[in-house]
Amino acid sequence: MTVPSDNPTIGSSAFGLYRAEWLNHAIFQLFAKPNYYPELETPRPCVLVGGRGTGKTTVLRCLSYDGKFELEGSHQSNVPQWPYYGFYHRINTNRVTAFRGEELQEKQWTRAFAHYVNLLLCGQIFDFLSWYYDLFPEAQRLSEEACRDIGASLFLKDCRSQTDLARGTDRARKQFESFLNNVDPDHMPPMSVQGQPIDELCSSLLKLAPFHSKSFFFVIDEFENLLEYQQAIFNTLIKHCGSSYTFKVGVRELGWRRRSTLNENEQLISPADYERIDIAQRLEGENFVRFAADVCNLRARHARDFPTDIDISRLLPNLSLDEEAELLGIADHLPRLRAAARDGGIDPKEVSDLSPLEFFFADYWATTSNISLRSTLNDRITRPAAWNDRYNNYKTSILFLIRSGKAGVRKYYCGWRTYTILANGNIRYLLELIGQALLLHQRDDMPIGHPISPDVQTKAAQYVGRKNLSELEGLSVHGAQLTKLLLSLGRIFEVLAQHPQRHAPEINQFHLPDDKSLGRAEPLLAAAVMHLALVRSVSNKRSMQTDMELKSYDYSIHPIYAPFFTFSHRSKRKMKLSSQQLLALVDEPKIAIGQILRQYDQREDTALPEQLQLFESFYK
Amino acid sequence: MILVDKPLFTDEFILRDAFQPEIGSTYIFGTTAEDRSVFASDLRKRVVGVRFIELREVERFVIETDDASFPRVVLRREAAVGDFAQSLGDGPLYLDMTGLSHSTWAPLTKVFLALGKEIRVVYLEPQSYTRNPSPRFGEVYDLSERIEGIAPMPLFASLNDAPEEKVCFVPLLGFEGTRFAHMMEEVQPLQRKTIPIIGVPGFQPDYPFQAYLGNSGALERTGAHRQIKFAKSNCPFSLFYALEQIAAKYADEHLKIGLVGTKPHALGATLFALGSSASVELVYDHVKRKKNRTSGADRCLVYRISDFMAATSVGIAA
Repeated sequence: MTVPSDNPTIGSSAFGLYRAEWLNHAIFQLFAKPNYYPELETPRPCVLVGGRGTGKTTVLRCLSYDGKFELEGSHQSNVPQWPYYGFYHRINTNRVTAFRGEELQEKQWTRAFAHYVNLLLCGQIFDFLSWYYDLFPEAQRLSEEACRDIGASLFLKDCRSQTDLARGTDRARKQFESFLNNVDPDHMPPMSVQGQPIDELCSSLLKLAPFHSKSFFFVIDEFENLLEYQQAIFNTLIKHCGSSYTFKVGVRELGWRRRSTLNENEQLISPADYERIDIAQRLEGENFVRFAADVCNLRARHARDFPTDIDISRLLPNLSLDEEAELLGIADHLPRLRAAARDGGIDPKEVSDLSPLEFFFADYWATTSNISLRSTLNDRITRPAAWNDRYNNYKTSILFLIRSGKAGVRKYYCGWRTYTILANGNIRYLLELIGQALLLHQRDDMPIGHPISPDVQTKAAQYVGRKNLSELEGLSVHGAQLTKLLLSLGRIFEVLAQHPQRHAPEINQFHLPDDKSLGRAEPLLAAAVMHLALVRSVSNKRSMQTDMELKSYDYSIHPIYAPFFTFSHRSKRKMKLSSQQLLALVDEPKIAIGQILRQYDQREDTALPEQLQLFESFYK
Repeated sequence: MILVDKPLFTDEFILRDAFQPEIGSTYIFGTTAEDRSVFASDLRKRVVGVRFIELREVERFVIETDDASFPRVVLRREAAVGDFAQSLGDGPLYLDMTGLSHSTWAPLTKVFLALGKEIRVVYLEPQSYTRNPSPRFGEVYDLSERIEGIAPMPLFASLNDAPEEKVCFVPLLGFEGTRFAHMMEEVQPLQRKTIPIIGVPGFQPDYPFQAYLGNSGALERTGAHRQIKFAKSNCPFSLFYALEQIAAKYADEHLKIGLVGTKPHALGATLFALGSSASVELVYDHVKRKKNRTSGADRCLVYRISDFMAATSVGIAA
């Protein structure tokens, strides 16, 4: 099967379809199992935590019975051998937000929603049974007595067969919809007890020959869309689901806002109650590089007209720092550097073993430290270890100086490794980067299979950063605030990168005081992390073992935006911000940017890079 | 059947003052800070023999009225809205949607129609929309403060979880591309299952282009620009017919209609949700509109929706 495409540039379209819903059935052909997949297949609750685009939906859909069926090539004979049957459901905001309002008290909404969940999950099992018995019409079915009992638990009348149960559940759902459209606390319809019909149905099914010793998985995606009290209802089911069935939950980081069950004193704790699978941790570093290579190579193989046997990483050549300096035009600085050496009485032979980049750094260090080039070079010879440390610390940051203030590319973002760092464990971002690079490469009339130039790779990375920035506003109700926050922080880090003097190199993170309440900044930060505007990492060394204990975090702009703003994509040094400053970056960006930059002896009125000129009115 | 052969039920008043509600009727309206919302208050002063009821949207999905017998109506309780509707007598009802939010006029429309009321919806076009002082690409207009998030409008909650491959998303586009992008993010339609509708002709000749420009990012990203349909922006009935065509093409599918565009289009979608045999769900993001999002008032349009629905049900509009 080839990847569906409307795009005449075939190679890039294989990477352009990076959302599960765009791929439709091709999702299963293009599925590469991540290293954590076997854990999800165990019969215990799992919570898969990951940002938008980390592949949660793809993985969860592959756990569902219809996904697994397609994944295994639709071989009917496999189905009875499966150890589990999964039922995928994405939490729909337009459904769950119907269950709130002043008309009922929270306790009443809790009962109502629990009943809805019973109808929903039982309905999913009935859909599965209908599919299963279409494949195996002779397989043993639920007895009339069992159907009556299950029906009674849902207040369904006269259910003698599975078909009656399925129809009755559908009817009950419609009746319940009428109740939601005429909410009256004095006339509540009969409501089933939380979890009871699911228990009843699953345990009855497990007694049947086809399902004996199997597991049932309720696969719940986009858990963050649930209201808090609704999360508590699911938490209760997860905590007490027993052996008949279990839950596989997909949720964005910080989207699981309530950890207690309906009993406020009862928390869900990992690993006692569930297995927490944090995609960012599981796919860190080399794990992500390997997984990403599998995904990309699989896509390349399925794309029409894509040369076979091409390793995707070889299409994206890297640059060493010295090569990058050369490409940025360090040669243009050499006459000035040589003249400075000559004026300082330095013999050209003394600098002949310096690479252009090291020579450039020596001059930079002399100027910013207010010492002579002579002393700097002496220092290099007399204390080589200290010099090398210093040079390595500044090597990346001084690249930004080579073309500082000039039009065009000021820093290259290229190479397979660099792309995986920009994606930061997010497979969708990586596919976007490669798809865009291939597209630009083809537009330059370059054949697919030839290495993509650093210039094209960089422009593709800038484009993807800008595209995701423009999409951010539509992602959530906080979208406008997140865009402003990103534009403000991005500008600060960009100015610091272009002017590395008088501060530590590569400042691109921030930290908030641990001892103060974050107030209004807290939901802003949570939304920023949830929607991948920011990335957070544990900063305190006393990192805790469970997910219930307090941690302290550093925050950085997601590296996918680094090429657009032009600052270092490597996680390096951090600045201290107060929560007031953070809020001011959203509420009064011009003032706040200036104030923060002045702390680092920088001015906010330095020229905007070309790509930021689109946002001139925001900054000036 | 092409649109020119379809019956339309709109009375258009280019001179706004020429509009005169029927004697013995009831005129329901709300006011906002927009210039055009003054129309209803002026009408109240100059017209006699008509009962005027002003609605105030005081809290989420609750309205207060200046009718002493119904000071407060909970819109999520169909029975309560029904009692309010019955108190309005048998005369024609004019529902001026200009100064009311979707969450108010849509449930009222549903109940009034269900009770067989003769209902006419009034709408005043604005003269212009407020321009964005510092627009980014495609963001020409400055219309909304924020969105409160996707949630069902009162009396339009749906629990129909159709399978994803059976969902067809029909966003009615306005100028604000971010609202459309947000809906796309929530609905997550499969590829080639988004059929956007843009208002053509627009209130002004350039509006369709601005609408396209404002939504171009999300349209092109998703490939939905290949499937755009058009319906006259101030005509709910044209929108209804456009939806009929889409529903015929995507028979047996669950239509999710995203309300971003004009109020007349939202009205057309509401009528379609109420009158069509297709499986329909309305998706709305509860936008908080800016106070002075428009200026001036243009044409006054009166939509005879109960006549339309009666005609539709006997097959005239089929």
